[in-house]
Amino acid sequence: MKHTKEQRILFWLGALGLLAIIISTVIQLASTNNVPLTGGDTLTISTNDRIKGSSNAKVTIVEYSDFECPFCQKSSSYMSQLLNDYPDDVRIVYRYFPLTSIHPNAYDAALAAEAANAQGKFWEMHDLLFAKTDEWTKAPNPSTIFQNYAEELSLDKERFRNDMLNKLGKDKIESDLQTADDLKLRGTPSIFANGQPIENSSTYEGLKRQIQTYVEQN
Amino acid sequence: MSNKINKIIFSLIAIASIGMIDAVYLTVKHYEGSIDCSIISGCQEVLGSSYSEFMGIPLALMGVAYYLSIIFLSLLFIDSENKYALLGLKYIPSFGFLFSLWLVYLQIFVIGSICQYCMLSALSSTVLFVISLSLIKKSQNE
Repeated sequence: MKHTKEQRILFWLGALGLLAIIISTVIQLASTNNVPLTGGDTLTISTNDRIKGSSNAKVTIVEYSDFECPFCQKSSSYMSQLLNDYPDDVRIVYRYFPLTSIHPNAYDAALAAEAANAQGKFWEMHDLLFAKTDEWTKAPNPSTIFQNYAEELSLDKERFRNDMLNKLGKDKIESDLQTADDLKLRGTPSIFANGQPIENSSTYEGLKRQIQTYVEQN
Repeated sequence: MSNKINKIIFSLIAIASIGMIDAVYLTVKHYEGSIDCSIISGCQEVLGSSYSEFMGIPLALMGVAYYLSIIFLSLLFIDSENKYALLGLKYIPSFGFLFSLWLVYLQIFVIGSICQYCMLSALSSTVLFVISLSLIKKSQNE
């Protein structure tokens, strides 16, 4: 079957045009980040939250985090910097979002943090877990490592061990996971300031600039 | 051109389009770099690994080029029944398939993370390979 020259030109223009449209659409879709829903009740802070900073702070930052996620490790250092830079204006709330499908020890680490919380040392354990990820993330059974951390923090080791065994923190972790699900979060860290999602927290300067505007607004 | 070969060529275009969309997506994600750990597992680890580039070129981009070349050769064959285009369509997918096998091996045994989008590309190139085999068979019978 022979085609006329016009038909052939039309064929190529159509095909290449279609390809160009498909490619540019995919690029556009792929580069739009999933913006999480805004707060609502799920971001209301309760006594059941792990909080650091002044209760009169103008800006409450809620961070959904996973102890085994390297980006959360970086982000946790940004949070400490924020507390340093805005000691009266910013408070930090840590919420558990262990991504168990990719991080086998993340849930146990969250349980360890909760067991430490039972003895009033959540943030100390939080810092230690992030500081020593190399030690425990690849361990086949991290429990003994976590018990050593408990000892290092002068916790009651026996109580800590039992609290971990009995999964004391399970309810808290599950409730955080539920709120993460309600917020349609896709990954960690997911950060909110006064209930609004922070979209880019990859550099400290970028994060600080956004927090600064919240401080000024309030 | 027989009707059967025609059908095969169109199925090549369809599968290569899926592969191309997937590879474009992966290329964008590769250049974006990751800023978080995603619930959709593994892609950060895979795309961020040293195996995600070859001589400075992202494999995802090579994937785009590969799928585009299959689409282009198919169009060329539909347009002009060019015999070199047909030759390419018969044998290029074999290389794509072997390369995919290697990449799946890397994900499972070396990087230790599976990226679903990379697996989708491996699947498309496997299907392309199977179609190319039937193309070889059909055109021998002609």
